[in-house]
Amino acid sequence: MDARTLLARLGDKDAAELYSGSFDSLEVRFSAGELKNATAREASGIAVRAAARGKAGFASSRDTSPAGLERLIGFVDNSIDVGDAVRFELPEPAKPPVPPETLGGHDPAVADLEVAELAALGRQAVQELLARHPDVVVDASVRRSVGETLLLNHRGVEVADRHSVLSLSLEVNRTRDEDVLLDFDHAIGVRRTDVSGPALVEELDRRLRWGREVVSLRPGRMPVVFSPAGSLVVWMPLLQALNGKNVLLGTSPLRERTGERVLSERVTLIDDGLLPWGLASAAFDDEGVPRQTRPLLDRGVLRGFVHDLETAKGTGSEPTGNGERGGVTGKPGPGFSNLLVAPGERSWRDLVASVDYGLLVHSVVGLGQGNTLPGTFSNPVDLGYLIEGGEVRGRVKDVSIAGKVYELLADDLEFSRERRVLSGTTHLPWLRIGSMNVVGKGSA
Amino acid sequence: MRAEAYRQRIEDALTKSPARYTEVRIEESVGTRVVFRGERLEVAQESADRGGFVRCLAKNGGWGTATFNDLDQLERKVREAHACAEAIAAPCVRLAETAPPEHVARASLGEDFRQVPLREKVALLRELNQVMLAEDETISSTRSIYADRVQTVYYGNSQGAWLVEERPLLDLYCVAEAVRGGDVQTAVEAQTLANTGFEACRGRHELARTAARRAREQLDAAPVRGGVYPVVLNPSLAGVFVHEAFGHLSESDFVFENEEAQKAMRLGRRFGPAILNIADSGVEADPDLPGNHAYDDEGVPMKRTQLVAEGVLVGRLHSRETAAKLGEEPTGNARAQDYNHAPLVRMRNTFIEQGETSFEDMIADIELGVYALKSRGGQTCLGTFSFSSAYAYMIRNGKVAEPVRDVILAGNLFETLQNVSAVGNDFAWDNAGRCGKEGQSMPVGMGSPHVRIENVVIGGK
Repeated sequence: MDARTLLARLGDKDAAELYSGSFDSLEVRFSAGELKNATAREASGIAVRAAARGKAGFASSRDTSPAGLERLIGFVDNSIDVGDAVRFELPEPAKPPVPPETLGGHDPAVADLEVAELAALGRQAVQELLARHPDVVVDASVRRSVGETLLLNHRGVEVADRHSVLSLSLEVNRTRDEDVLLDFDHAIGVRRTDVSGPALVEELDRRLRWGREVVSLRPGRMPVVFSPAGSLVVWMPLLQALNGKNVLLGTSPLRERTGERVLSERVTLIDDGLLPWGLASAAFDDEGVPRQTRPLLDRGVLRGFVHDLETAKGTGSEPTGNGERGGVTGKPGPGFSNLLVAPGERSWRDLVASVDYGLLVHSVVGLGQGNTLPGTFSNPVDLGYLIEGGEVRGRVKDVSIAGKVYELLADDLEFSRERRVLSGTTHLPWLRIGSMNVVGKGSA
Repeated sequence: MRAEAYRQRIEDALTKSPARYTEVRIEESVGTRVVFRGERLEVAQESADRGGFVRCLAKNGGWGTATFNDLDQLERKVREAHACAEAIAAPCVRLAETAPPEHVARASLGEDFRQVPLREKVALLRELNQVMLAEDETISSTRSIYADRVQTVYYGNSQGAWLVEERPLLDLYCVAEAVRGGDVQTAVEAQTLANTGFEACRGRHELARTAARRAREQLDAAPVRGGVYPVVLNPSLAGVFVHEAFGHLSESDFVFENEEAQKAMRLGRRFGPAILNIADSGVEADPDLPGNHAYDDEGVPMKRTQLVAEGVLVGRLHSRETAAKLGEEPTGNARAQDYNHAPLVRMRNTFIEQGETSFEDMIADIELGVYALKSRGGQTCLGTFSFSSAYAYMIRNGKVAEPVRDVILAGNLFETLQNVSAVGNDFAWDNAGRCGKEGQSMPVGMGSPHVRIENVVIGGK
């Protein structure tokens, strides 16, 4: 039974939507510098959302045999039987917002990579890193995949998408006596050219050099510079607040503040579903709504939230093209596409150089842990470095940072002109916060 | 019947495999997931899954793996996994010897949730959800989750192993969100049970009520003042602590290719005071524990592994590969989330053993300290760990005093275990949940009595 036949089988429903996907990937892994493992994956699945008698249902299966699909139809009926009132209206077919070819999405130079080529890409990075730092243990993974999805609904929407993805991740471990240093970096993108081994090695190399010596830091209030990855601790509560789901639930501290200035005018945040060759770029979202390029925060002014069909309807707003499924069998929910924080003017090196005594944060322990939605966070620093006299002096251990995002991003801050792309979708500059609280063993 | 048919297919594929070693895992699962957010029923989803996993060792090389959904492709996938293995020119992987098992373990559930209609599961969760919403006017939102699943695993390898195991798992989560002014506080009460029927979800109103009450109480709690304190962990939080801070370091895939880590984790090294005993086990008497199985995902029998005896490191957790590499016995800790994944060295049920100190004695001489209860989440970066308590109280002059919140404990494992100063006489398996590692989420059990630790850094505002 193909997807269209299955949709026809759901013809007795008032609304029906079908999302199917198949994924094909090849991955090599290096463990302790050695190539150890190659894995080929083939996966497929299908999810159905439907409504009847005013009630909605959802079901999924990774068993796409004829018997599996028959069972899936039964699951859909069971779900409708117990379902709540329908809270979405499936869209009609729409014109692509931009010519699809401008979005990229599939690079044959990625799709055709074989084990040997993936291994070569990984080996080069591993060996370069080991040449510079013979005292570390390096694990690496290189993966290429192609995902194809098809979205159909009863109103005639038919959206097919194909994305290639290439990723390289490196993990280093430097153990000296009791001191375990663990660092990680990755590059991921649609095109072969999005993933550079040497660039990744540079990042890790710099932090390994910074971390060669363990130094102590005098706790208290001080300037803190966040690397792009480190700044996630600040962005995460804000992203939760910009998610339409939390607006709908009434838990977003930003709800009902659209049009107000909520942060420093240095903060501009764009959700761009149409970024050329972006990992999350596509003409339509996972519900068939056209994607957009939208500022969520424009020079500190709140412009809007990300919505899927349900949260848009529930909050009386328009769908924004942000309906995302966590995998083929997951229910859609609001999510970000490509996120871009507008850069500043100076180099990140200048931001570091401008700090007389402060902390550089690259990662924290327990990112997003605890109750961050109100905007507060409190985390031990995992990889942090002392800045003294404008220079990085060494690695700092046993310190924690805490703060309120809406205060930290309201006032004394600066972004670097360089940005890094995290997870292939999140384009972040370095961030310097003028003053925040750093807790350490000496604080008691 | 299905088991015999699968056995035939798996054995045929193994016979035809050109590899030095081949293993095949086929899994089928059915599951249900129900989610309420506030009054809204968000998900009432039944799902089915079916797929396969093949792993090979070529003559000279590392692992080649193939995963797939279409089981008709099994023989092709064995060839593909072998081709992957051949493409890896790596030092020869060796596997520790283990007698090939032949074992069939069917689940025996009280009220089999596979026979319970979706309608009844939704009704039960709706009731618990309503209990939370009705408990207090500050409860603005809730998240209630019911999830069940039975995973049936068929495993065979080229050394003659044959295993069939049904793995039922039942989750119930009640999350309450209390709001006052701009302040939002959440509390989670949850249970994860293996080998338990639907009856374990009935009459659990107290679970929901507790979540609502705790969320509300957090609104009144003041943020803890950051600093260094003596801390008493309740059994639930101590269980998470031992899992996060210590357990992960005893997973041998961390040390087996890292000489420096081997030095840090050398057997015979003193890790803590003589009152400290830690073990990991897949054969505990309590049948609901999610880390209990007869065999791991490499066909090695699970057993109890002592990790720390009287403060001294005496053991660690192994797969067949790590055991061979370090010249030790496999311990039955190779576990895989599902057919999409190769087994990793994972904990099962990890615990601090019963000690001798009563709770009253433990806090009697603390002038100023923190009593931290239950975990809200934890993470470790090997030497460094962090976990936040769901709720907490100050200890003042030997007595539990006012509630505090935002308690995040952080530190270095090696120092922290040395700083354990008392182990309670009140052991409880009080925490079961999921542990994430390299993209795989495994059900694990955690247990402990109350534990007192000196000089713990508590993050604060």
